[in-house]
Amino acid sequence: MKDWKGKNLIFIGGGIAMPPIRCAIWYALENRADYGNITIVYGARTVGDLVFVDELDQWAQKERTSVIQCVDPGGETPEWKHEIGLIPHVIERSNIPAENSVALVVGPPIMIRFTLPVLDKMGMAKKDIYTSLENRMKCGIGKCGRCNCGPVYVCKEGPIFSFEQLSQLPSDY
Amino acid sequence: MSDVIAKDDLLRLVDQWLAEGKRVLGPVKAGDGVILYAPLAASSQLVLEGFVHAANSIKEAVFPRSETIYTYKFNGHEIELSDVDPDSTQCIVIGARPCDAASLPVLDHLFNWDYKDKFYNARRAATTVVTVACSEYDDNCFCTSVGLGPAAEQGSDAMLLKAPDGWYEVRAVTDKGTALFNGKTTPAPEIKVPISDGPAKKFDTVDIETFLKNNYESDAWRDITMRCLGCGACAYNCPTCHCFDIVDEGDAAGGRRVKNWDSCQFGQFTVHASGHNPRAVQAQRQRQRIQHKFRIYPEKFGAILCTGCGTCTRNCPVSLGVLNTLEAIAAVARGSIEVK
Amino acid sequence: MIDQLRQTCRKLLEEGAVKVVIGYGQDKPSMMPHPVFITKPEECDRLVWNDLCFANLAAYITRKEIKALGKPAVIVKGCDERALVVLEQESQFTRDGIYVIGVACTSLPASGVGNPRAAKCASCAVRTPRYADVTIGEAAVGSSAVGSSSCSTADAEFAQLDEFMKKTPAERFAYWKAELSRCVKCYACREVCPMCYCNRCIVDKNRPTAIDTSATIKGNLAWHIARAFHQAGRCVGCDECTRACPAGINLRLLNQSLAKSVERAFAYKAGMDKETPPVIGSYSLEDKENFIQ
Repeated sequence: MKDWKGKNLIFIGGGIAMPPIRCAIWYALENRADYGNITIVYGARTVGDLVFVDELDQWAQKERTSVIQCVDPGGETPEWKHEIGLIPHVIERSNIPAENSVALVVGPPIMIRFTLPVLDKMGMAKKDIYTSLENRMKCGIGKCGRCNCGPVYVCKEGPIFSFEQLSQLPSDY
Repeated sequence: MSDVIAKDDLLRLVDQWLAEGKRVLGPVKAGDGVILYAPLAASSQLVLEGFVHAANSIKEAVFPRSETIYTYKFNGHEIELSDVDPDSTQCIVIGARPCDAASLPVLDHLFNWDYKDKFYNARRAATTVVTVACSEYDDNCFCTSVGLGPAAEQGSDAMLLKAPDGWYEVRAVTDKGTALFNGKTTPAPEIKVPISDGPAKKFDTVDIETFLKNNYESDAWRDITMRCLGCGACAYNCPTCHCFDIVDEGDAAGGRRVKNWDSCQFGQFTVHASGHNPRAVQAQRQRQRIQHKFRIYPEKFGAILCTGCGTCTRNCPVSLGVLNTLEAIAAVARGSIEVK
Repeated sequence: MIDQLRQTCRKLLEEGAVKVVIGYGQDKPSMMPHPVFITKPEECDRLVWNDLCFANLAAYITRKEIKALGKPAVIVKGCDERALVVLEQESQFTRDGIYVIGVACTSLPASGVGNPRAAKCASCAVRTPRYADVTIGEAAVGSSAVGSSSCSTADAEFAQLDEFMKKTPAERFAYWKAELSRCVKCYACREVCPMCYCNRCIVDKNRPTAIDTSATIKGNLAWHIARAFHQAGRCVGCDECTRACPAGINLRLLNQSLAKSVERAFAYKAGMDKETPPVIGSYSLEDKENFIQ
């Protein structure tokens, strides 16, 4: 994250992805002066599936920080006052500035698959879009043979990949 | 200058190894007559000739089907972990085919890439491999297509070549092999066993690699592998397949963490915790197996993950296996089979 | 006979009655005949039929990759058809959702070299399929052309089992320990089996693990006993598991033991008669066990 000083940060999390991505959000907020605008997009299937909602509200109060919350259609409650829609669709209609931005996308593979092209379409460089693959691992030391995407062992060479790197790999994720 | 050993003396030597407490692995006749590499109790079980290849491989000598990597005990709310020492029992594999032995230097890459696997390496160091050069082969053999042959020495510590009148020519390949037969052979300058040419070359691995690079999403995978049932008869008996699972087995008092063979052909192999499966259909799983052997492994380690033994094809209940798959791929690549 | 078979399949595909024919092909003479999936009429010449067509193609009709192709015609021998009967009774397909092409076993496979696992054919009682939409060929003279659903536990079918049961329990256990010690858990027995259609097999359940996945004596006994329990009254004796086992484990003997127990206790033979309710899925007030009444 030190390499991203001066950049706008976009954090995109789906479902139970909030716990891992939250550490990066904290880091950015603790070093607030180092970064430009911070956008946090967090969605889940239903309202009940959202975690750390109180923190989301606190983050929304921080300077130059915006939080977009969403739930899948049908997952809302009568009190729900945020967005309804799938994460890629919500991003598409939300005017997040793409210029000078780095995006961190964490979530289920299906969300990743549809979100990365949306960020690309917004004008972000593929090398500035990062994601984490969820491939199943057993050994974690490049031996057991199940986490690979083509020649890349996710356990040894990932699990964080840029969209640029992912574009070179088969879609085994 | 050749050295020879009489078959009877060879069998006596096997019994001597057993008497010394060594583990001896060799082809035996099991069950309904199937030939399998298995631990010997006596040399009389050993079957050296009269078959092309055992239905399994020798990988169990270095990479057992099930191996404990540590044990655990519950002490109230505490967990006590104990290391398990790697098995360094001296092991001699006798009667392996050259295509089996050739798998060992190939596997060395994987088990010593990055982290060096102490279990594998301990067994590997303690294992001496005595091969028998092939004098016969069948339609499923294709060692010559992957750069090996009936007397390829890769991975062998010593090689036996069948000479007339119950003799074997002994060729020591490594120091281990020399030590094993030291003083046990007779010089026989007149004996020089000719080596057969082996099976005709069946495909070009460069063509295969090119196809694999350019046709990841080809429908050919679906068409060719449609009949695959998704069992592990190919992978489990393959000398080079090395994928494994790690599981805990135990009870309320404790248990062990164990490394078991696994196969990329199983539907559950890559299922994520969420239930999502990146290789959801059998064609993707077959593609992975072929890609791993003929593209991924060569790119990563400079070695083809296949020795042409044909065991997968012989064992496949639906006559697929590497050879028939690659021949079908080669046909698609040549354009003689149209992809639907 | 092969011409008639190819012609039948060609016509079905041309008329659009089915989308795919599941049959036997043989891409080269050195291969065992293997399953093929014919989707175009002009490809029907790939179909073959001979004594080595052991594979039980009924195993494919429950698989998602095959279902995705559309309505199938499946080529079955009399023994394979028994599997279809059980699968239909277990609601794994609807009869009008598939077209069944029966082939009569016109000759017995030669035993011995090349056919070490053709033991089932010697005592076969269903050389001609009975419920097929069309049946091609006539069973060999001297064989029972039409299957009989009558049950006889003194059948030649069980000769090997009867011999085995003369051993003491300790001897039998020693035998099974030796047989099963060769199992590496490749699950070829499960995957070839038409009856093993569960989406997630009990051995693949790991939250929690029900059966040790290790190929140790304990894990192997647990697997084969679990498998046997799930096959009791369902196994049709097609012997595909025995043929598929790379370690040559005598699963036929285990299956026969189940079959004989079911025959003796319930006068039932799986897949022999469409109208007889499956023994596992039926309830009778006359059941002799008190706990179930």
